[in-house]
Amino acid sequence: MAIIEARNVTKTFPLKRGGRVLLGRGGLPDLFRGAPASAFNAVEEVSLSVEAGESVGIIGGNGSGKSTLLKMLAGVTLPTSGEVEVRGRVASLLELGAGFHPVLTGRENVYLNAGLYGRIHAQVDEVLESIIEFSGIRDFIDQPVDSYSSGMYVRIAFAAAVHMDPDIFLVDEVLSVGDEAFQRKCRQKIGELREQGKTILFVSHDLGIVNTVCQRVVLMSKGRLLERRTRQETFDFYLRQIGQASGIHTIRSGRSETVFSHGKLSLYHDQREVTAPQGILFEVFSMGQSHAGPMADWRVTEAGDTAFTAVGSFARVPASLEVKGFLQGDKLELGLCLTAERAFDLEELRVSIALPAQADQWLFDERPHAARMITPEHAHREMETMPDSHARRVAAWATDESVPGLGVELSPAQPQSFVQLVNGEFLSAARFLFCTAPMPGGRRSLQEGDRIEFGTVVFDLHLDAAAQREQTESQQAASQLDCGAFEAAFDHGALRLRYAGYEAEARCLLLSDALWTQSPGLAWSVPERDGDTLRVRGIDRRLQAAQFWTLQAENGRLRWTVEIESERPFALQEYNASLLLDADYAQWAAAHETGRFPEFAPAQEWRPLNVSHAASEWIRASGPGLPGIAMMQDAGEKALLPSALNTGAAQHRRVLQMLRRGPQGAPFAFAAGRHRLFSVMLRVLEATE
Amino acid sequence: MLALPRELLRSRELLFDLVRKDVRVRYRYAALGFVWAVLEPLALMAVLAFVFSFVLGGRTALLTGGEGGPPYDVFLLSGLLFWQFTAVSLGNAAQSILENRNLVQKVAFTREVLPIASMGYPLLNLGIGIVILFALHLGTGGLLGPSLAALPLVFAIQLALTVGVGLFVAWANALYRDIGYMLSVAILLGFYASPVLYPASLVASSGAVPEWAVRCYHLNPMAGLLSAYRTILFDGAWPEASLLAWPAGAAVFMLALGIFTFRRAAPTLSDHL
Repeated sequence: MAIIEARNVTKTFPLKRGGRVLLGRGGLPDLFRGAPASAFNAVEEVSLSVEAGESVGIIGGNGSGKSTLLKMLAGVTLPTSGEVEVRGRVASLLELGAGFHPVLTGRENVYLNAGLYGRIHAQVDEVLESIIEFSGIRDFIDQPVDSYSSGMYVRIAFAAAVHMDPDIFLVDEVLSVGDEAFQRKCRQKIGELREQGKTILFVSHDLGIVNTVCQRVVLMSKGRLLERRTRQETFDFYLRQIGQASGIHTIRSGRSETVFSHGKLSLYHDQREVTAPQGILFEVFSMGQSHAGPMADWRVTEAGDTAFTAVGSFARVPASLEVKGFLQGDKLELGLCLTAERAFDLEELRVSIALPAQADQWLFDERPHAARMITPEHAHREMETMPDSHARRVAAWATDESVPGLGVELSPAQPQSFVQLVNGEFLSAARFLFCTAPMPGGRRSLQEGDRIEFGTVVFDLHLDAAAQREQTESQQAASQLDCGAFEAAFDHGALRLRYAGYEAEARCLLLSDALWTQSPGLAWSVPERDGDTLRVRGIDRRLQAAQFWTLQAENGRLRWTVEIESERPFALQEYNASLLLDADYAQWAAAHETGRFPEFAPAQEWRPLNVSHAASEWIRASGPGLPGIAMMQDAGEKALLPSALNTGAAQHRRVLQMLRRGPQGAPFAFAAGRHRLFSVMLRVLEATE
Repeated sequence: MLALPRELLRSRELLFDLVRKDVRVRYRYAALGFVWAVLEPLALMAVLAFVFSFVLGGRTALLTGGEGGPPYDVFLLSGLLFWQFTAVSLGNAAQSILENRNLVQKVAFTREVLPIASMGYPLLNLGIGIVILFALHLGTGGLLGPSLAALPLVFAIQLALTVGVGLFVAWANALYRDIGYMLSVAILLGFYASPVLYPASLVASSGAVPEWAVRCYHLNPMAGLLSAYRTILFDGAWPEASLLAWPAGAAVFMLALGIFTFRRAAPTLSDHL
């Protein structure tokens, strides 16, 4: 059942607003003469049905009736004709300072405001603390609100409104007053409300935020309500309406569809949106600033059924970007070329592809990657560590197949092009694949008329997720070794040992020029399997060296050999095999020393716990009821030093290391060529009491 | 109409918050603060008592019922306090919707709360005034008897009347701002046409007023109410039922009219602000 139901709602205002008049237009003389008072329909025959949990954006120009509609839904006024039914508690943020009195303090106003929503003091007492906390203006809470800045006003008003536990939340263009940090907080909160199944009605002129917040968009135009088949079509209708038609074009082929709208591309397959609402954007970086596609002035110069060309002139960089799209079957081929209109310095060109957050399975060339879940704690964009930033083929799909998958194939014209996977903040509910083409040396001075090609990107709008999954699964199976007491798997530079419900992770760490390099940061190849042996190679771009790992399952143990190869001489101050363990491990032991792992403390982060630094053939860890785990030096291996440490509290892991350090702090010098760093055996022991 | 008491009960805390807000707003920049709540009625009484004692000279006893009656200033205060309550309440109620437009336009809530809360401050003033009145009464040799038990009853009638008219003028003034101006004139007229400065008996007994005018005079429910207060206080007697019958009837009627018409106007009040 719809939570909000408006049926043929019309709201008529007399032309002269405010108190009624007895004389003049619409007054008594008109009434006697029988002349109808001239009136104005702010909202006309609007029907809108909103299901519980939907987030609906209402866009439209000034005076289009958005706010009047919202007022009727909030119960502030009645429609002149038609019906409005709202089933649930409504909290509204219709305007700045609504329901606030300037003379009262922030705290008193929270009570007053809550009273207007029918709450009693006892209910407010329960949430007052979190309201104050959320508003972030604790120091001013007992000051009269007329001493507040408009930003503080909206902070406390927003905090009070969201803590009234509404079923329906009406927001009318007020959030833009807060500062960047608070806006982010609000967006996160709105995201949480949405996630909790609250119904949100959001009125804004900012199409960007409506786009991220709302699943559904309706347009108010001269008091009437319009809704198109998709959100993007509603936006396009609006953009056309406000006279920006020249930057919009749609191409179709079979069941695939691509909409270009003012520097943003949205892909559809079978009427489902493949890209996230943020779409595909183009960015030009110059002087450390990003100039995104939607900031440019776009003109579609060639508008075919399956192909288009659009040119966008940027306002703040003297450049224009030409975008060519060609849809064939389910593949969209996209070409990008930048032309300098005057001399300027170009740093990077980027294509940013937004996919829904549900797309958690990724494939970079052959290498699978499961992306982290995006939770309300994600208030910023966060870079995802991914297997290979030089991949040319990327595929993404959702484990639960709730969203369509997308394939991306890059043919970059710039040699240093790379890809990055970035998780959007919680509210945006999107992941971004950045395809970046940096200029050689970080910057290139362009002369007038210079053209820079980005290369082509081919999108597969109808990704065969099943085939991709199969490939991923077989990949994963291929990188696993059965070692009896435990199972070992190679995962992007980390060796995962799984046993009895625990997982330990082995990494190789190198110290050179006072900087640690961790093996998961390398670009790893697909493991090659030979019986019980896995071989894998990782490129270390910083050291310009390659690591070669050999993993062998042998009598219930795992032999892990690490070699390094470089074409030029290099030096290492230290290198080690690190084994990261569960925090339940309580004790460690080496040949000459034993000890306990202490509580996690900042001063203890990555500090060796052992006093003796004498060489030991082994080190192991144990804990009550846990299987012991040990790392031993391989037969015939040069002496290694044991070390036990704690990571920081955030990582919360115990660490065992077998390491080698340069004599008296001097680095080991390696000649060009291939060298063995170490070879160790990993072993899981019986559980100890 | 029956829903209103329940809704008001549910919004009682809001009601108190709004009254507190009123008081806070009024005395915020006053150095003496709440002392003005005491000074204001006293000062008004002092001015009127001074002027009329001056005009009437030694003849004030004629007004207050001969030698045995209370001093003129206590007599005056007894009428003034209760009159002021209704007069100020109505004035406030008429402006209550307009003054709280930022609440009315943004949030849906029981609108009746606004005019009713606007009467909270006059009520507070009245409470303080009554304490002063009793003190002056006792201080000048007056007595307080069991007849005081009738005072709440009389006041209940006055309160119902005030709330009824208040609700009416509240919505009416939001629709037609003329109501506010008309109300000020009516209140000024009422001040002289009610037994505030003089006893009601004077109107009938002077002989100068024609019979029909006396009857009109008693159509004003405040005439009966103010006389009843004085009977209770100065005569130590229960007021006669005939004195209260008409005010009570008028109060019930006005209350019903006020509630009913306000309910009808309330949902679209925000359109007129």
